[in-house]
Amino acid sequence: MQLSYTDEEMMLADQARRYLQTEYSFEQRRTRQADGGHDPKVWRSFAEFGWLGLAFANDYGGIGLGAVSILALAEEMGRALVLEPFLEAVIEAGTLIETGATPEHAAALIEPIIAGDSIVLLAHTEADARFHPHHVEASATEKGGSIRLSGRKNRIAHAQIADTFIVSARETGGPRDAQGISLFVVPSDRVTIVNPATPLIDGTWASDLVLDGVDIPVSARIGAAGAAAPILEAARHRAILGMLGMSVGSMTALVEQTGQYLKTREQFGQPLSEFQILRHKLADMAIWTERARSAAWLAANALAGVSNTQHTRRSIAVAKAECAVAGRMVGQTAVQLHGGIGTTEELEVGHYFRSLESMGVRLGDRTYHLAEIAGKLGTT
Amino acid sequence: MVAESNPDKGFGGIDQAFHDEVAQFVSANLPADIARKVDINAPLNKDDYVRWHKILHSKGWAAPSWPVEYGGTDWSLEQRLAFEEICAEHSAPRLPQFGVGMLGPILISRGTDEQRKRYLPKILSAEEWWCQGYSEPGAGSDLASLKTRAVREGDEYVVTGSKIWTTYAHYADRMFALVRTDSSGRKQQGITFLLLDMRSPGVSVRPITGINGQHVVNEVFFDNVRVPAKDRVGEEGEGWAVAKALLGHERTGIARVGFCKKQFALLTRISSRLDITGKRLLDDPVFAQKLAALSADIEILEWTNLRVLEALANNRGNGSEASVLKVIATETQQRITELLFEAAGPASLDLAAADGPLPEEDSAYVSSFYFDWRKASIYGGSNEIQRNIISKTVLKD
Repeated sequence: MQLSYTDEEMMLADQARRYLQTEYSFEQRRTRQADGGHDPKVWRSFAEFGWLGLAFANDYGGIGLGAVSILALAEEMGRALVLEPFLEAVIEAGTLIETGATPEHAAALIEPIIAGDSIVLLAHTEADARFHPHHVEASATEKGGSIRLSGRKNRIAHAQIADTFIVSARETGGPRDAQGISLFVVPSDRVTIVNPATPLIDGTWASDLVLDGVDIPVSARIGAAGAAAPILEAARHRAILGMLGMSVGSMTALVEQTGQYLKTREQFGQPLSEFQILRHKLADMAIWTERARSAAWLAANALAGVSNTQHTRRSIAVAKAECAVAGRMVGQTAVQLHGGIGTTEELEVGHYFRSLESMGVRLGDRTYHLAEIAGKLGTT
Repeated sequence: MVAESNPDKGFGGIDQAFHDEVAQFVSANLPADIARKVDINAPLNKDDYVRWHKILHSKGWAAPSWPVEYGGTDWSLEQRLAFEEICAEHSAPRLPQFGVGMLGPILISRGTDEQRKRYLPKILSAEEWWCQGYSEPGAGSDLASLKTRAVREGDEYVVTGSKIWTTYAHYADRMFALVRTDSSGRKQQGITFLLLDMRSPGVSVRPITGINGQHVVNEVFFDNVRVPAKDRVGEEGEGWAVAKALLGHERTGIARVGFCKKQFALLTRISSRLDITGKRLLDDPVFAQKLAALSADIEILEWTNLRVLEALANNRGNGSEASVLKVIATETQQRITELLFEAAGPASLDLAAADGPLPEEDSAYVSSFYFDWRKASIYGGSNEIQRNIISKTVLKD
């Protein structure tokens, strides 16, 4: 059990905070948001700091740090509202590759990721999936040594900057069966991007992908045929952990900024911080933030142990459900306490709120995860 | 990807041998009638508490937080937490903490040798039962405005006034009390900490019937009650500092995670009863979602508790951790009581008897528990006071 950061993890967080304070101010972020969020210069710095290789095993040139380090770094990224695809292209895609691919295949894919030269994204979600983890209608048909992929992927964030997609497609079974899903590595130039660069509430862009009978070699498959569900689950869990960290960082920043605002803004001849009703709302923000922090540590500890057990699943569902409501309460209250200015795009507050709501929805909203928990009640 | 271990922080997880020893002792020695009462939140009487206290004492576990030389243990904070949680999960009652949890540590750190020799052994053996005289009719959350007066006359103080919400005053042999010896300065000054005998002439106890129909708290009146000056703890006028020093103790008792899990098990049991069509309340999606949210809340409470205690054990923290924990804990506990009330359905309409034979139904006391537990967000510094403390910490930076 680990309940607080080690000195090493705190150094990582300090390094990230210092860099992001100078190179990722709200004004700099605004400029980057106009371009869909990705700035190759920032990504290059991430690579130089070693953050892109943080969680990969030493064998692949990574640093081999665990779940808590992901949390430490993600917190700082959430505090600065970083728009880069760190969760998607490093944590999520990286976990897929490391968990599923053969060592040779993994090495070939991971080394350029760590170097900052390659952006690999999972293309899994489809329009009718809602949050179902196994909803795959896209098909993979093996024919004479090659595989033909057909289907459509929905709302893939950062798709406009990817050089490679890991596409989920079904080899057997019905649209929501866990069995029968495979993963394939597909160069982005083989995929047709439709609805390109549609803005999302968190400030990034997403696109839909069409695979119209794309032929790829069998060697592009990651893992065994039809057996991708556990690989996808491992990646989903790690991505959720990263989102929990980012959410906690964003909430922490909102508590601080709202406290500062209450101290400086005067109405009725006194600072807002003199009104007890407002102080209590601020206290509630702090309490919700601590709840979310507990959720993040719960998830980090669950993922530091053996993966894919019922315990891990429940822990992730608990953490995600709790963090979603905490993010909503903190975001809404921050806007409320800032008054009119809180409802504008000018202030950071609204951007934190939108980002928190985005992370509350992605990879399953509160209702979805509570249903996961409810389904197991009374069985243990 | 590698999991880090963090052995230096003191919360590495307790070892299995300790866990098993506690669990086995409680299972083997807790009287079944007490366990049943605890399981369904039936009221416990003095005999129940004393019986369990003496069983723990026979094992040397009556006061785990005290130093070994006074009859305590050498357990770490983490072990003490684990002990309390394992006891709760095995349906042991949480013993009233006035003697062991509150006065004991005060005497150990601020009492005289004579006071320690006179009082600690009888707290440990449960021969003397203590109550706490803090709140007054005009001093609730604003405790320092207390008015009960103590006038020095030779070797004695003469105490006049009243205390309220005094839990188990009707069981108590003695009371530790905050009294006013000087009203000239700031209200926190001029408060003195006294130990008094509940059988002294001039002490009278009036029962207060709780919102659930049960008698737990009392009003206590003092009419020229004489207290020997040697029963003063700390100097005259320093009682506020003595009382505040106590606030740091017994933080392991705030969250009560084991108790919450036990109550959730009761809730699951009540919700799992089959109706004539073979359905359970648990299968109702609306109710199941409430249960799921509550079980998540309990898990968040558990991790908040661990994080807070680990931070305090390592002298980290900003001073509002215990307040955050108190709010999360009591709000979670109260949510449990709400869902128990809801799960019981029409059975929640029955007002539980204050005494008499123990009912057999699991749901017999859900109403009593629900109404009674409103006190949790009021006692120990109301949750509004806690929010004042939390916001002060945020606004400090």
